[in-house]
Amino acid sequence: MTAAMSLRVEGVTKHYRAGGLTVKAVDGLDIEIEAGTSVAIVGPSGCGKSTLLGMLGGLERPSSGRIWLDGTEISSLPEAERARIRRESIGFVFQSYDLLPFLTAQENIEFQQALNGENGSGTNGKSDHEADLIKRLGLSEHATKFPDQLSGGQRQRVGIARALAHGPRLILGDEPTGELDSETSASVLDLLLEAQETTGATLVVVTHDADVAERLGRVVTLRDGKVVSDRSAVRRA
Amino acid sequence: MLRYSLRDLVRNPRRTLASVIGVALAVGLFASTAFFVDGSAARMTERAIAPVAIDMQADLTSPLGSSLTVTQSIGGGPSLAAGQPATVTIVVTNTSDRPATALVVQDVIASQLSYVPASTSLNGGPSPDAGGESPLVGGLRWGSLTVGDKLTITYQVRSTGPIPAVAGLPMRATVVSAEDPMPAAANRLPAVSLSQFASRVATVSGVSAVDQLAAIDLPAASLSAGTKSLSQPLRLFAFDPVFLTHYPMVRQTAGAFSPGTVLLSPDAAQALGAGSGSNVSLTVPGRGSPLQFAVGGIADFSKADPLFAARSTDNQGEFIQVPNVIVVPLATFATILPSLKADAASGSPTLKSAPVLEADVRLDRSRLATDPALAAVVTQGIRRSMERLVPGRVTVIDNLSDALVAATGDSILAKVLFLFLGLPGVLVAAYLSRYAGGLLAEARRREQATLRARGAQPRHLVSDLTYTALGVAILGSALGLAIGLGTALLVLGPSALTSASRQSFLISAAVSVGAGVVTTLLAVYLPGRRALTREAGNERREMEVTTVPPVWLRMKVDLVFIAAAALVWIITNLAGGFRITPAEGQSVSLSFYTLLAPLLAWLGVTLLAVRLLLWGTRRLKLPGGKRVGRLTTWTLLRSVSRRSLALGSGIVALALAVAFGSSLALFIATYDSQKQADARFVVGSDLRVTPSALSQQSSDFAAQLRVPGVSGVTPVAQTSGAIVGTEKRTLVSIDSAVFGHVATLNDTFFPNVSPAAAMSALRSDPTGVLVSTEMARTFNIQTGDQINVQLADRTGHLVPVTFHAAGVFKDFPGYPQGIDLVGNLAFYQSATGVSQVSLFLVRTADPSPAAVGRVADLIKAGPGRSAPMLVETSATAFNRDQSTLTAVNLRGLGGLQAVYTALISAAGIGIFVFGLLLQRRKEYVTMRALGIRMGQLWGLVFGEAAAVALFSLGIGSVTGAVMAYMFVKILAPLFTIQPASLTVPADQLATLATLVIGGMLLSVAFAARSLRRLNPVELLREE
Repeated sequence: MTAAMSLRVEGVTKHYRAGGLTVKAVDGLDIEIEAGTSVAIVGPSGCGKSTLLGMLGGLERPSSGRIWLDGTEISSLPEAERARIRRESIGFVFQSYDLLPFLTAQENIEFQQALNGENGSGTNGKSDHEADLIKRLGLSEHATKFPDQLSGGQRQRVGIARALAHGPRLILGDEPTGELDSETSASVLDLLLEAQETTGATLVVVTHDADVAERLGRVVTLRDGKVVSDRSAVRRA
Repeated sequence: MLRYSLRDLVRNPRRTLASVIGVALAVGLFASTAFFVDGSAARMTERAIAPVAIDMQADLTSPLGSSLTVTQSIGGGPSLAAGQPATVTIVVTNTSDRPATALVVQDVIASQLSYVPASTSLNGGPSPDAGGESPLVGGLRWGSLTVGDKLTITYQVRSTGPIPAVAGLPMRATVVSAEDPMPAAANRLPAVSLSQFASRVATVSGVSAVDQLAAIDLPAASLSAGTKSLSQPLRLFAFDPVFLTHYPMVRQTAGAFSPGTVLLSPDAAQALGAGSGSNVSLTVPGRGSPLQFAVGGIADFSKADPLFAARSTDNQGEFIQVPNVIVVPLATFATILPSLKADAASGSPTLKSAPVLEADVRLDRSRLATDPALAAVVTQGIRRSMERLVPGRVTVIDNLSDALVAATGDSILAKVLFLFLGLPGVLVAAYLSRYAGGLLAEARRREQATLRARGAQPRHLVSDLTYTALGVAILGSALGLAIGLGTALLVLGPSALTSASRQSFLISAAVSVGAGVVTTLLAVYLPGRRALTREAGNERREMEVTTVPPVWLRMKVDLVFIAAAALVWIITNLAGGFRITPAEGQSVSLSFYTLLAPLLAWLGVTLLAVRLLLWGTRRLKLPGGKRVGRLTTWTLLRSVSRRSLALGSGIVALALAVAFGSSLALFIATYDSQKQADARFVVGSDLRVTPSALSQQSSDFAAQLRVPGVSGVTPVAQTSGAIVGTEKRTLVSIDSAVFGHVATLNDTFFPNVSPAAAMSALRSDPTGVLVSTEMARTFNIQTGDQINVQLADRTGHLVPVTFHAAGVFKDFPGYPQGIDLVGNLAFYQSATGVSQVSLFLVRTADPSPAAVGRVADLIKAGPGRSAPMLVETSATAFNRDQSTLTAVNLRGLGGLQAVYTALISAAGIGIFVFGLLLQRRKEYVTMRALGIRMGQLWGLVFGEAAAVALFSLGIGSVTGAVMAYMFVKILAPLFTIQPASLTVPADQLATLATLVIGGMLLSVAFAARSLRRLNPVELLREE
């Protein structure tokens, strides 16, 4: 079990310039997520879900407001520091998997580990962890396959394995089931939740799928960049 | 749709630039090469006509012909009945420019007619019969006729039978005068004198000056001074002093050609012991008493070949240099000409040949077109105009048109040569455009998918593609023309462009734009049309590994190219295309079909090398352990190994550019060094000093030539009168101990032995002689054979000398025209008693042109002050090169192509890196999301770009060397001495490598900046 990461979003806004106009993707958000919990962020397209997730992962900075991961205000850190936090503590799962096409499934997982390992914080026994992950995610037969040789579900499982490879304290999922059929989608979500449970990491998933959202502990609904509802999920089997 | 397409071009400046840059470079290179060729062709015209001493030589075909005209006619109608009377009229006109005296008119009456006694009248008055016959039978005499005056004689005849056609009766009246002893026949073309002809020629448009010249070869003993008489024949020239200013080929070395005086050649002056102020006596056949003249000065005719050229059409172009020459004024010749006519009219003429009466014509060269073909049309027109002035009575030697026609051929050859040398650059720029188009295809497909999703019909997409291609073509062509113009101005200077005609300039520009449109069609439009036919479902594949090999790889195009190149090479070789044959005249023959071989090899070898590289990278042994080790290297190796096709495309583009640049650099460096070697071969060493005939020197003079900067001097004696069997051969005598250290000796000069061994063989036997391969073959001479030669001693008598063959030679420095024998100077001098030598070869410590020039100046200012001499350097020999094609400005072309190699290489590596960013941006932002450091990410881009740059440099250099070798081999006729190996211009190749690597680093630096600016959130959401 790794120490989970808490998140705090304070008055965060994000503006974009598009076609000479200023678009407010996120408009004064305040959210607090406790360590070890799972949260779904839902809302219609363009409501600012992915922008918020990107800011939580340090991929971009808010136009105003602050974001804390545990006690660290990530929103004010330079890119190099934010990258360090990502490779050490955050695992990303993307909608279109975004596996590196020239690496096998196993190498994609190793790549994430190597990113962390090269930074000096790698742990011994990483290979056991990797083997365990591959086995646990049912990828043993596909470890040496390239992404374009895998099905969508298999690719996303590799994506989850990669996100978990370095033992993250925060798992961020951006529509992780968006391109999967419902059966595969459920199985992938099972894996994510199981991983979160196993590792104790905090899980934040952006989704427009209500079924997916309701399987997480809390559902935050955004509209026009603002929180319109924040409630506990109605757990479904 | 048009607005959308144009907006798309404007909104994506980097993408537009990537598409346009290849087209622009292709058009730029094509245009600048074409502009350069136009300028070069114009300069080739200048160069071709520069050595022409006399533009046209118009010779009267009957120099001794009478200047009186006779017309004869019979009245009484076209036919005569038997016994019908008729009047015969004879009119004699003095058409010369001087009075005619003591005229005698004769006629022989046709057998069908009978003379009517006492019917002859002369200028209207009766003329009595002589002995019952017409006075014309024995010759009717008349005192004189002034210029233009006429003498009319009539007499009556009666037909002895019916004459159906009077015109068929023979007209046999003739006239002679004291001035024109050769009979002038009836009804011939009116006579014309040289002065009359010259004044008519002066009125022809385009003629700037006409000089009259007369010449006659007189027998031995024609000229004497005091008790001395010339024992050899004499060439007499007649011209006025102004001729010397118009034609400096006749060099006045002493005195002055003042009115009433004559000039002598150095040989004649020396033989007679005459100089300025001396009196000479000239005996002219047909004249009773010799003419007396005061010698005004000495003139050197050694460079005046055209004056000694044969004028007859049978042997035109042959030169017979006569050492003894006298020049008299034209007025003097006018008094000699009747004597010559009298001699010719005599039963046993002394003179073997008729005199030459010639109008030497200078054209206004500034009015000639810069295009040699157009200029030749004008000069040939002027020649025809001159011929029409006196039809049938003049032969024109058209030296200027001959040179222009040769230059026309050379200019066409040069254009083809330039285009062949420049073609690879255009092709690689076009390929670059295609490469960029391929890289951008993904982005375009995504946009097309979006347009389809928004309801765009296929025709809309085709319209969009057409407008985009049109936009790229217009932008690329305009930019290319500007680049072409700019680079031509920058590299070659404004004169390169201004010397070309506006017409050729506009044609080149139009053809360049045409090339741009074709390039765009091939690079942008066709791949776009192909992409449109694909399924919409295949549109989004950004993150997939490209696995479909390109057409050239699948179709084995590389092997096809290499096989085709080998085929062209073998066929050319079997057809004898690589055998060096001596160039004839001013033109050089080149097999341009063979130039396809290096082009095919360029493509074939490059593609084959890339094929092998791809084969190798796919088999890279990647570390299979659990630990990744160095992340950048680990990732890079996998990326390169598994996506080698992408890398290969980049390498193909860049390697082709590097091969193109390095091949030209190697070829031009080899060409330059070989032309200098050729020039040194022509001169014999760095300098050649030829003492004047008036101031001949012995071997000891070499000591005086040892001015500062000289490392060696060697004397050379040459005699063209060495008689072997019955043939005259040329013997060159050298100091074999020193010659090898001073002269430029090449390994190829001596078959089977080294130059040092050849010199040693000569040195070891004082009677030894090296024999030319031609002479050895003709006389079947083997090494060690005895060769009996007759040589003239210092008194001119022939003495028998026995040599022994010590070896053979193919070429000998200083004698590009070829010689027959090379012997030891000491032996030659002891055998003949001749101490004077012909010339001295001088070697300088520093062979650079500047240093050689300084030494030449020192010699002229030192020993040259007291002893007249001709000092030639390799630089002057280089400029004297006769072929316009061999003098083409390859260095200029090289400079131009070097600029484009740099631009194409920089654009190539830039487009490759830009393509990496475009194709892999999602991959890069994924890595950023996973937490990769920017340095590591930059390392990945740098690693791939560096691999492309280094592999391209390696493959390009090897291919470039192969191409340069082939170019040198094919263009061998341009060289006198065949190059033994390629000259490597290390500085230029290093510059090329630096530019490629520098361009790569710059591109990667821009890429690093772009990587920072990528928006991960936006890109990761992009499908």
